[in-house]
Order: sequence, then structure tokens, then C-alpha cells
Amino acid sequence: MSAIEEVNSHFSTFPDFVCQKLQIASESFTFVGLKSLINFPQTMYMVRDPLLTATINNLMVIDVFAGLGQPISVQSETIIAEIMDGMLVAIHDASGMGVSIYPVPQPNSRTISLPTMENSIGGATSSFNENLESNITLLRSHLNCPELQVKAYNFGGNVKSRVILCYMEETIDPILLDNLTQKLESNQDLEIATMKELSLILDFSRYSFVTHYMTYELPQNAVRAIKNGKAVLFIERMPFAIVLPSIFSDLFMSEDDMNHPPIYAWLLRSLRFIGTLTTLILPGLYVALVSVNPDVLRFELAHSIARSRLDVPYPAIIEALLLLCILELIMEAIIRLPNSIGPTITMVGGIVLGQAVVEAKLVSNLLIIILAATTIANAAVVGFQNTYALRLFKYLLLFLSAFLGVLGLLSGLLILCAYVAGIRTLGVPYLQLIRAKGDSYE
Amino acid sequence: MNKSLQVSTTYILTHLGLIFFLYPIDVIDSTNEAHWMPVMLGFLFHILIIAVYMKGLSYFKGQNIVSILLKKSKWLAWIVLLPALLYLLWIMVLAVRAFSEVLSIAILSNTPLWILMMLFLIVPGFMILHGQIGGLLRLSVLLSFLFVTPVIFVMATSFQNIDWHYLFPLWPGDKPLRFVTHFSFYKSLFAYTGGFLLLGFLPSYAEYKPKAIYWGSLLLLPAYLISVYIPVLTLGEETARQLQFPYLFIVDTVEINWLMFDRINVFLLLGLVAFGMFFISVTIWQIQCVIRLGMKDIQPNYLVPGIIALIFAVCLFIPDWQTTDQLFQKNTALRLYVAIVTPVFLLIVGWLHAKKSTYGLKKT
Repeated sequence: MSAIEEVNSHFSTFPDFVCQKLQIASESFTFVGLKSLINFPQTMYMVRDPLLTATINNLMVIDVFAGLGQPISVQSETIIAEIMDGMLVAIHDASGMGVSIYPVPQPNSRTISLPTMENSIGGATSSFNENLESNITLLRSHLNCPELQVKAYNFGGNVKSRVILCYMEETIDPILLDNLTQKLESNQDLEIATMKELSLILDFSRYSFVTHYMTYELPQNAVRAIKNGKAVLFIERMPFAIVLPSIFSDLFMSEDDMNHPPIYAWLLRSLRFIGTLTTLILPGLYVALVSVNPDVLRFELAHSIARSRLDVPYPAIIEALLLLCILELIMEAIIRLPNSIGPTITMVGGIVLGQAVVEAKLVSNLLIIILAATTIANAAVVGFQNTYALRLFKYLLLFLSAFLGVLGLLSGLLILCAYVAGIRTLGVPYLQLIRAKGDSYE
Repeated sequence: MNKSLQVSTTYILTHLGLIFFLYPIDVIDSTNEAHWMPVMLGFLFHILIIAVYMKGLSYFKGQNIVSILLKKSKWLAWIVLLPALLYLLWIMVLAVRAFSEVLSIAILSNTPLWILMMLFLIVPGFMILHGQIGGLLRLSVLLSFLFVTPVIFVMATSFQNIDWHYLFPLWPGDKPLRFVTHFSFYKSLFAYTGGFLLLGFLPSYAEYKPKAIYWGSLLLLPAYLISVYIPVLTLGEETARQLQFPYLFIVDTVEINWLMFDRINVFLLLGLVAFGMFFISVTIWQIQCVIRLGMKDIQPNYLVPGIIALIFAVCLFIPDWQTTDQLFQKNTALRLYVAIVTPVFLLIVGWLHAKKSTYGLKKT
């Protein structure tokens, strides 16, 4: 059985497999490919045109044919692999010569469009999508310089996925680059389809509370990161750029700030910093002041808080946990609901959190205000991966406050600071501003 | 990589945590008038020892004190290192015990003391185990960013009730240096010698400019002066003398209308507690350095909990504040020995080393 027949039988049950004969003058050619990946009419037009021109001008058809694409060996495995990669394979029937042609592909992604998870107020709004090539295009158009390095890696054994690493030679920290390329090169047999698998390949701790990478949909954010000495990864079918490593200032600084006057940029960043502190401290402070250290408060205030809690039958920590639990449930529930049902949850949640719990004397008025402020402040940080850490950390402070009052709150804050100060990603300490500088010791 | 900022903030924070508790009363005890003299003399002493210490260290680029001394002579090294180790353990016990006592008096009167002591050991232990020295250095920057503002705010507001007349006389009548014969003066020196040993333990990657340390200690000078002068200026010298923690008492009397908090000394206390925990973790790290480099290289994961358990056990054996105070007094001689002998010894060793190597160079 010839190679082409083997290929035919391999794809015999595929509805999108096309095997087409083409006769040009006295030569006949066979074209095979998958029409789900290849736009056949256009590709055939593209291929036939040079061959026809060759016959009219009395050139050697076979030479023109060889120049259409990459010559390949005519074996069934090679041909199948090329077809699966989305290439058009052409075979000259008489000589048995095979060529793999880059076809007009079927569109398989969204067009470049607005970001779905990020907002840009003053800058460009076209965002990365699932197509690796168009992501590189976007990156290049924002960072048009010869120093931009783009390296491709192929991951996976049976299921292949491509990963592209971009960085700038002169800005990237050498320790970071060493660690990163070494980890990427030594784990190429593993599959990458999710961020978890990426974390596994890059050897991040499973028990890390703080994200080691940032994901950006907007190319200008990725470009800023590259300029600041970070590395950017693109994974096939992931609609964002993965920026390594994430550092402390990623919580507060966004590329979008650069489009505002500097004073406002700094004010906005300070606001985010205050938001971070608020969301961490406020619930704990409430519990500490109500249950352990009421004497710290001004008498009038302590009195009014105590009066509002008069009918609440349980300690402040239970009260806070109860309401926080409902808040977390609302936030989680709203993510996966269709847009038509989402408002219902908001409304029901609003009723529950608004007046009903207070009137039922389940929680105090002040707590509602505090938890609302906490939730709002939580969203003020840049990047939704960072909000997870803040959401979790506030519970540590809450429990410590219930146990030791304001001292517990302080200890919690110290533990957090120490935790943040001790984290390293690929040899780069987390606690840094702007430039990601690595240090090899420790 | 230059880490002047980190080293400098570490240096400032470790000292700042010690100043406001016992230092004021010791200085007030040591003299009746012109308190700036003991403060300035102590400060000059401090500058002198760090200058000698850093000069000694500069002869050995990028090495820490333990390896420098052990390389020279084992016996001589332990004459310096053993007292230093004992001193570090001792001040750690005192720090843990004193901080817990102060907090217990000020904000947590119902909490058993051992819980507070445990907290003062576990949190610093975590700081060390999670980040090691690199983490600590970075942490110092974050902590100073977060907690220096409230401390400065409280320091500024504590001027509320002062009477500048108490400032005089600026120059004491007779025998201006009489305070040097008073024991309290030597006791007060602990606020200057608490953290200076750290400079000798820093690893080679933490390069710093000596200038940064001098600037850092200069920033500390107002804190020393304020902690002594605010009680004196508010209450007068005679009254201030009666208090156990004069500065904290004064801050407690400050009244700010627009603040929702009644007791602003809580801010000061919490800020100082943060610095105190940082000081304890730095001390644990120094102890760990001496043990790992000088005796046996034990994994920090076992060594640090071991040190913590030891300190905790010792702390449990201290029954009351009197005993703590006695321990603190007994510590004075050892402290002076460590503060004077270590830098001078290091300078001599360094000088000899430099001489030898230039002699060796000439010979070749």
C-alpha cells in the first residue's frame, strides 16, 4: 500500500478530510488536508495559479511545484503529522515527490477585540486572544525593536502545545532568564494546557498564597513588563500573556496609570494601597475593637457600637464570619451565572445584606458598613489573581484579632509582611518595586 | 548588589523598638539636669563603636565576623563569640519578657503572659524561617513604610502638653559629667548597643556603604532625645522620675479631638511591637549564625524552633518584673564587654591582617 493510500485509510472516517486530484497539463498532483483547518477553495486557487503560469510559460512544472512549500518525505506518519498541524500536503503522482504547503487557514479564533477582564481607560484597547500568532503580532506592534527575543518551545508528548517566551535581552534579569529557560527546557515532555501545569513545570510551590505570575490581556501591560525586566509567556489557546514573575508593585501599579498625569497616577496608586490595607485590616479591627479592646475607642463611639450590638446574641467573630460567608458565596455564585440571572442574585443578596439581617438583629449595622467597605476595597487592587490572596489573608487577621485584639491584628499584619518579604519566584524576590531584580544567594 | 537602604532600615528599626520603653527612665535617673549630656555621650559612644566595628570589618571584604575570627584563632575567637552569644540570648530573653509585660499592662490585661511570650517568639521565628536574612532585610523596608508613619505621628503629638521652661538649665551647675559615675547611665547604653552586632553578621551579598549606617543612626538621634525630653518637659524632672515607663505614660495623656481613638499610645505601642518583633527575629538570626558557623551546622528548620523553645523556657522561669529588671541590670557588664571588646578586637585582628597581607605583597 502506498503512503497516500495509508493516509486515506487513516482519515477514512474523518468527515473533514479532503483528498483532491489536480491535473495541470500532463502532470497530476494529489492534495490532502483537513478542511476544518484549511480554507480549501482559496488555498487551491493559490496553489494552482503558479503551476498554470508555469505551463503557459513552458517552465518545468515540477520545479515550480517544489517551490510551493517545504519538501517532505512521503511516508504516512510524516504526512499525517503535517496534516494534523494544519498544513496542506501535495504529492506529485509521477515522481512521488511530496511538499507541505502553508495554506490559507480556517479562522479559528476571535478577531482582535476588546479585553473581557481588564479595562483600559487611557490606552489602547485591543487585547490578546487565543491565536498565538496574532498575540505575537500585537506584542511586536507595541514593542517594535530588534532586541525583542521570541523563543518557541514545544511541550507535551501525545498532545502538543506551543509555548512562546518573549523578553528583552538587555533588560531581563540574567538569573530570572537562566532559571526560566532551564525549567522550560528540562520539562518539555510535560503537557501545558492549564496554569496549574505551567506552575508545575516552573516548580512553583503548591502552597503559595501569592500568585507567582500575572496574566494580562492588554499588550501594553505585557510590554511594560518586558521593559521592566520580566519575561512574558504565551501558551497556545490561552487568551492572555503570562508575565513572570509577579512582584509586589503589581498590586498597585498598572500600565494604564502612565496615561494619566503623574500626580494622579501616584494618587491612584496610593488609593489602591489604602484599599489593600482596608480590606485586610477592617474586619479584624472591628472584631478586635468590639470584643477585645473596646477601651481603645473613644467612649461615645464604643458606646454606640455596643448599643447597636445589644441584641446580637453571639460574639463579634461569629457575626463577622456569618456575613463574610454570605458575601463570599455571592461573589462565587455570580461568576458562572448567565447574564440574565446574575441580577437576581445581586438583588437577593442586596436584600439579605441590606436591611433584613440588621432588622432581624442577626448582625450590627456597623458590620454591614465595614464588610461593604472591605469588599469594595478588595476590588481596588490591580489584577484579579491578587484579590484571591487578599480575600484569604483577611481571615487570618480576623481570627488573630478575635484571639488577641489589636495585638493579634498587628501580629497578623507582621506575619503577612514577613510572608510577602520571603517569597521568591524563579530567583526573584517578590517584594520589589518596578524592576524585577534577581539575587542568586540564599 | 548594593543594599544600603535595606541594611540601614534594618539598623534603624532594631534600635527604634528599644528606645521608648526603659531608656527614658534610665537617663532621667542618671542625672538631675541637662539630660542631653548623657544622651549625647551615649550617642557618641554608639557612633564610636560602630565606626571601629565597621573599620574592623572593612579589612575583610564580604566575610562575617564568625568566619573572620575562627580563621584567625579558635581560642581567641571564642573569647569574643561566646560572650556575644550569651549576650544575644540574654537580651532576647529580656526583650521577649519585657515586651510581653508592657503589652500585658497596656492593652491585654486578661491574656496570660505565656501566650504573649509565645507570640513574641513564634512571629519572629516565622520571619526568620520563611525569609532568612534576605527576607528580613526586605521586610525592614516594608515595615518602616507601614509603621514608621504612626510612630512619627505619635511622636509629634506627644509635644501637646510640654512646658519649654523645663528645658533649662541647659548646662549643669557643678560637675557636669557626674552622671558617668551613675549606674543608670551604663544601663541606658543598651538602647545603643542592641543591634550593632548585626553589621558583622551580614552575608557578602548584602553590601552597604558605612555612610548609610551613619545617616541611619543620625535619624535615630531625635528619637533618643524625644523619648527622654518629652516626659521631662511635660511633667518636670522630679515627677517623671517616679514613672516606670515615662514616655508611654505621657503619650497616654495626649488628647486628640478629631481621632476616633481614645488612646493613641496604642498606635505607638503597636508600631514599637512590630519593631520589637523584628529586633527579636534579627537576634535569633545572629544566634543562628554563631551556632551554625561556629559550632555545628544544624538545619534552620530545627535550630530556630530549638532556640525559641529554649528562650521560652527561660522566660517562663522569670516570675515578675523585679526579676526582669535585675536580669537587665546584671546584663550591663556583659553588654559593655561585648560592645567594647568585639569592635576593638576585630579592629586589631583586621589591622594585623592588613599589615600581614601588605607585608606579603611587598615580599613577592
